[in-house]
Amino acid sequence: MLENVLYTLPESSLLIGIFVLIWSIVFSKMHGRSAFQIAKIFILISALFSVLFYNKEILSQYFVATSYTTLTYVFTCAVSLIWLSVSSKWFLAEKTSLSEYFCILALSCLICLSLIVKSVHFGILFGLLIMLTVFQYLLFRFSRQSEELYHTARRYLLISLVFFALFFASVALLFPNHLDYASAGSFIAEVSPLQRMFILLGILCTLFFFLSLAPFHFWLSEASSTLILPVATYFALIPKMALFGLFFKLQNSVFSLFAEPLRDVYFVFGILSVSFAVIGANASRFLRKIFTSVSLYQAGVILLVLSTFKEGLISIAYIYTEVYLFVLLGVYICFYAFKINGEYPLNLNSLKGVASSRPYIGAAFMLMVATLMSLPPLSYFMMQFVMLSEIAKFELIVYIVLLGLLTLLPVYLKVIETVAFLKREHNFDRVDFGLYMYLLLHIAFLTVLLIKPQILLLQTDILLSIG
Amino acid sequence: MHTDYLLMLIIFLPLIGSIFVLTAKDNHADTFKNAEQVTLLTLLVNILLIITLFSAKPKAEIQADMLAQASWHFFSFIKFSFGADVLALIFVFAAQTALFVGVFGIRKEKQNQKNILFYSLIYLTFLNGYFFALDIMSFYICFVAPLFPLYMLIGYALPERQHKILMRLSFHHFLGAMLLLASCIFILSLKHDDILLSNIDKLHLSYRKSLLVWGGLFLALILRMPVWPFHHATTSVWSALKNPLVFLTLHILPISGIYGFMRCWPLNIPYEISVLTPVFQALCIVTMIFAAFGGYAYTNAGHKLSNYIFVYDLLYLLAVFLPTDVIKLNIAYSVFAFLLITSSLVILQAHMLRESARLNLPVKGILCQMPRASIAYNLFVLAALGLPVSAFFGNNFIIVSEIFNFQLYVGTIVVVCMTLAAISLLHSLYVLKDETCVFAPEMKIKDIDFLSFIVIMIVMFMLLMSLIKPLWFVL
Amino acid sequence: MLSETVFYLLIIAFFSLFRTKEKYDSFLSLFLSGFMILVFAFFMMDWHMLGTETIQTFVLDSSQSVNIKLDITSSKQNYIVIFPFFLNTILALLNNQIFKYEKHKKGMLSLFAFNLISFVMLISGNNFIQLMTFVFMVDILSQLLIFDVNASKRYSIYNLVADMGLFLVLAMLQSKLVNLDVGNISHYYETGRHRDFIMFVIMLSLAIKFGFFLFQGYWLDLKSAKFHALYFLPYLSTPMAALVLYTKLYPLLVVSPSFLPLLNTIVVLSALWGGVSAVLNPQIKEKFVYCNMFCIAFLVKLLEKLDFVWNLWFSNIVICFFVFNLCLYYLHYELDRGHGKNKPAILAVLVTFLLDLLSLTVAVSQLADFQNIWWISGFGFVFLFVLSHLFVFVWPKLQNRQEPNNDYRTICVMSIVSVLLIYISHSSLLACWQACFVFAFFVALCCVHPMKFLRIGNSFYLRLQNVDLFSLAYAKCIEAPLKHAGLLFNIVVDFIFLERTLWPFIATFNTFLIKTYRHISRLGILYYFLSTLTGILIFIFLFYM
Repeated sequence: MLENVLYTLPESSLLIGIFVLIWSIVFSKMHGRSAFQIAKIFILISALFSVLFYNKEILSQYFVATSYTTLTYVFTCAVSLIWLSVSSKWFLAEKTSLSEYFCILALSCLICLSLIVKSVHFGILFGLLIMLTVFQYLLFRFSRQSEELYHTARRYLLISLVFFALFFASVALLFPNHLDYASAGSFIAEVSPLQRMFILLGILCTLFFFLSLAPFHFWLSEASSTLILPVATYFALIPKMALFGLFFKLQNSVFSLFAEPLRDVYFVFGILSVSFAVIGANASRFLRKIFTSVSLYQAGVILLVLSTFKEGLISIAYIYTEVYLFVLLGVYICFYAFKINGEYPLNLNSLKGVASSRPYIGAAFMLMVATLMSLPPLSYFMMQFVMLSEIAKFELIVYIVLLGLLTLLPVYLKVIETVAFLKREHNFDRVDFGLYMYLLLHIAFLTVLLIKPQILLLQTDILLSIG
Repeated sequence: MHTDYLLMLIIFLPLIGSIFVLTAKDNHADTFKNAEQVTLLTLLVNILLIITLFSAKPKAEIQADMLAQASWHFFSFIKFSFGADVLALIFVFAAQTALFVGVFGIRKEKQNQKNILFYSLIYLTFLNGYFFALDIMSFYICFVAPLFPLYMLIGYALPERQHKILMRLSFHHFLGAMLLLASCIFILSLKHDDILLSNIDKLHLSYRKSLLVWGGLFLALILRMPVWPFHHATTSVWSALKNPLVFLTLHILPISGIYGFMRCWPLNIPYEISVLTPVFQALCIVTMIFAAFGGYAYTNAGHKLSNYIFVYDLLYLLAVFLPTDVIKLNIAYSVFAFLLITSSLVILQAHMLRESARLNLPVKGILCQMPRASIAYNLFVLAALGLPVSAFFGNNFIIVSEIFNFQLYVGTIVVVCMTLAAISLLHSLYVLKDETCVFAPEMKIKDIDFLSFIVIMIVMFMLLMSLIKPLWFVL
Repeated sequence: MLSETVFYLLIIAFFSLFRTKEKYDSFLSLFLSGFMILVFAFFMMDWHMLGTETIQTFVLDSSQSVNIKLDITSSKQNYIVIFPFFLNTILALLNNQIFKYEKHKKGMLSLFAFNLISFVMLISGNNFIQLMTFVFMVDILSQLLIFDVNASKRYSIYNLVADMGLFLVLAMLQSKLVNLDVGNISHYYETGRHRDFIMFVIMLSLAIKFGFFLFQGYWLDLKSAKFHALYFLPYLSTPMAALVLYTKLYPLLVVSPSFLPLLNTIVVLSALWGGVSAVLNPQIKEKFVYCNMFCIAFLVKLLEKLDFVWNLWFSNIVICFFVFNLCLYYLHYELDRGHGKNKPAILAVLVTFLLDLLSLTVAVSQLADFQNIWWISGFGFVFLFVLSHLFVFVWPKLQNRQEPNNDYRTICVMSIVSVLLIYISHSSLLACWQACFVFAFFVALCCVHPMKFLRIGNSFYLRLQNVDLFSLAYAKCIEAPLKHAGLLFNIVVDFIFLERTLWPFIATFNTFLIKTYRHISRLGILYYFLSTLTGILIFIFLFYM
């Protein structure tokens, strides 16, 4: 019994954290910073317990903890820690009293994500996705009263319902004996093609929606420019790793059995993602929208690579996802550093000449952008190279990925040009010392990866337990 | 002598120098002076190290073998190998010296000097790596990596309204980078191990793969060259650049393309793309004609010099594609002299333009008021004409004769274009020395400073000595 | 040995470059000039004591493709060819030392020394690279000797074109021959082709360097240069370098059937134009240029008739033509700038002039034979006509009654020149009946002065000269088309095709995509549903495909 309780500590510690925060809302008005500190402490505890009990779980028919799920969750926690640290600065600057509420939502989402990664049951997954959607809707609404955002949040909820309906249909078709991943695969292989199609349609489309792959990416690209910065950061970084972790797990255990029909699906959706990413990035002058499009491109690349259904690609795609999210984290940290008269600029043009006033932040930002440009010998390039080398037989995919990168180039160069070359129009506020430290650590880690990229491959043993 | 350490030091010394430049304090009266001194010292030490490396082996052996080699296992199946033979060392030597001269050209510039010096050193680091790369992966990395500092350099040097052409130029370069990346991926997928550049043509590639690999490699390197229709962006940026150091960094890029061909390209063009050889040659010739005629038509000395550089880049490109190996060293020596000559001319022109802008005077006849600049400009124009005051003349003669060996009409057109380019340069000299233009004494037109003059004369001395013996500095 | 001569000349040249105090300048330049004369004496001694041919080779670079080396061949033939240039240099040097308006005596001395070294290396060289190197060196030194930017502009450009023509030809040869030795040149037609093309390019280059008909424009530009820097150029710079090249490259010329007709055409046209222009042109410097054009045409044709063997009499002719230049220069100087005050000097010049005429006649008569007597006579006749006209042109200024001037410099120079002339042609001078005939004819022409009866055509010629047809033709037929072609390429191809067609097409396509994307994104919830529906339909379609 005690063991079972202990095995739930990764999630229950987050739950305890939520309770502490509710207590503080109801009974004692704590300082905003304290709420974040509490949240971070509990996330740290959760991560530690997750590592400690890396292969222990309860309700093993619904949840299975492996080194793979632990790795995914720990990465998500690590990113969340930094996210909450920088977001606390935002809240302090905004002088808002909703810090605790925000932290509660953050922890709630993390619980959902932790369970999503560990789940091996489509029914449970369905429930968890609904919960995640609710919390994410609440995060959507977490802003100053902006009518546009209100409508966006409603649209997000509405369209989520559509996908839940599809997912529900798939679950219903698998019900009652084939809801776990292991048996679902074999069941789907045995049913009629129409049934197979509906099942996979429901599951995959919902996953694509949550991963904001084209053409289901609309909700995130529309919302990214209007969401407050902490929420935008969340959507850009936090659920991605967990959801990709889920996707890779499903790919390995379920979808790999249906390579033939799904090859073209992945390929076309991948191309669509890359195309929309490229057009969206070039069309937009909003910073967050640009990088949302960049994320869309990355997701498209992963899908294109996976469309080959080649063995061993999932590990590489996983590490690739880690690397790009890590770089994107650096970009978002820089967003927290760009402040004009207390406001965080939305438009790229507002960043004109920031490098002359804030040279270190400007340099760090340019370094991140250069990394995303796939400049060698930075680690992002190395991972992309390794990934493309694995699919070298599929020349068309290689060229599509590279063409997408090339057409994103004007965007990256435009960003660099704005930051470095154009004449400064605004005075930028002083940057918090903490942000410098986070950036420094980030760059230090990037430098370590530059010199010793083999570190990334140390995870491959862990990734073998993906099933 | 630990030549492998020496080799890696030569590659990474500019990077170390760039860190010192970066840490120079801002808003300080001596900021630029410190940064400039660090840069000059770095380049000078690097030049001395290169000369030391030249002397690593007995003179009799240096033509044949690698002077130094280093490798390390980087990642997965990727193992970086660097090696220095005479060919690579000449290119590296030329690049360091050209940029050394270029730094003297920006001493009087006021804007963004620290940033420009910083990125120049980063650029040089990767360029050194490129020239020393032996395997395909390090070749690719050092092929692409300089593009970012180059973009930054040009961005700082170009006025805001001309950034559109910079975008186009970068697009060309990165398109080449992507094509080369694709080729590298296909090559490495075959062998599952890093492959030396000299062994690429020994791979057994299928027809389609061969087309993709060789086509990609070819286009990647060509996109660096000002060959029609890719020349317009390069020449537009050249014409717009006023900063001599940045001009030189961009000027070295086509030279790196030529070096790439010398290293990677097989003696006989692969069958799969050999059908395009006449088309390619025709494009080179047509571009050369454009450049030669264009230079003649322009009255601006800067345009004339740009077109002159253009013509010679294409000459080397044509030479590199000849199905012979015997003139590789001649091309290298010629490029060495070419870089030195053009770098000196660029900084002299930049000085004249600066003075004319400062005093709001026409450039015509300005050399009459600058005795030191006049002597230097005269000498370097003479050298640039291909007259025998440097290794440029003899080696160009051999290159052209080898072109004649294979194609008479191409050779004839090449000589005509070289003549036109030389006449254009001579025209510009006479415009600058026009004695009919009178300047009032109170104008106080400044000549180039004594130190810059000494440096330029040392470069002239190097050119003269290279006429007598190309590797005269080898101990 | 020639290598020793080159060495001594190098010492003189480098020492002349040293900067010293002004008061030591003249002493140093005098000393070095004396040393040069001593070197000349050694040169003559070596020549007379020379036995077999020796070659000294300095290898500069050795590579897979070619060996670059410097050869100095000491042979009797080379001494014969070098002799007139050495002597002319000495005379020019003397003039430089004595001429009172020349401020940069040391500088000129150094240039003369380097120029002579270039000629020695050009003549004694055995390989193409050495040939071209020193042809180019002579060009560069000529421009420095001219010392006038505007005067040397077209000079540089024309010679650059000529040099590049030679570069082209020699590059073609090098590609097909085993090595770069001049002796190998005749083997080209065993391995190569394009004899007419090569001959044409060589002749074009040489014609430019000689300053022949159609290409004399850059010589006329030299009228703005100082006269005392002008008189030696025809016989100590590019035309003579071209003459030496002519003797070395003749195997490539004679194999072409078009060579002789082309040569005769150029030579006759140049001689005619030179002769007529020398007579009709009112300007002394231009007369001078045209007269030399005529003389060089004569030399070129004579050399062809001698089967390209440069012998001692030919060298004497070159010296004589140079002395003519010197005499004309001094005559003009004394009569124009000196206002005819220095009658002894004028007399000395006249005597030297006549001695020179006699020496020339002697030399020419030694070379004339039954095959070439008619055309030599024709040239001679025209030459005497032109010379007499020039003589008469400057003579009237002597009639001014001015206070005499006893400046001895001119007399010194003329005396030395006269002695030299007597020395070089002493063996045949008095025994030559042709000389007497020529002398008498010349005096008669001077007395009669037939040109005063030929005033018709002079005004037409003057109008023609004012228009400067050749410059006009060059500007309209060569320069303008080149410039327009350049602009056309840049505008039509680069600007219209790339800037206004290709890139705008890409930009328009890009804009279209972006506008469509933005338009779709503004549809709100409809966009959401449409995208979802599209995605689902695509899935279904692909799944079943």
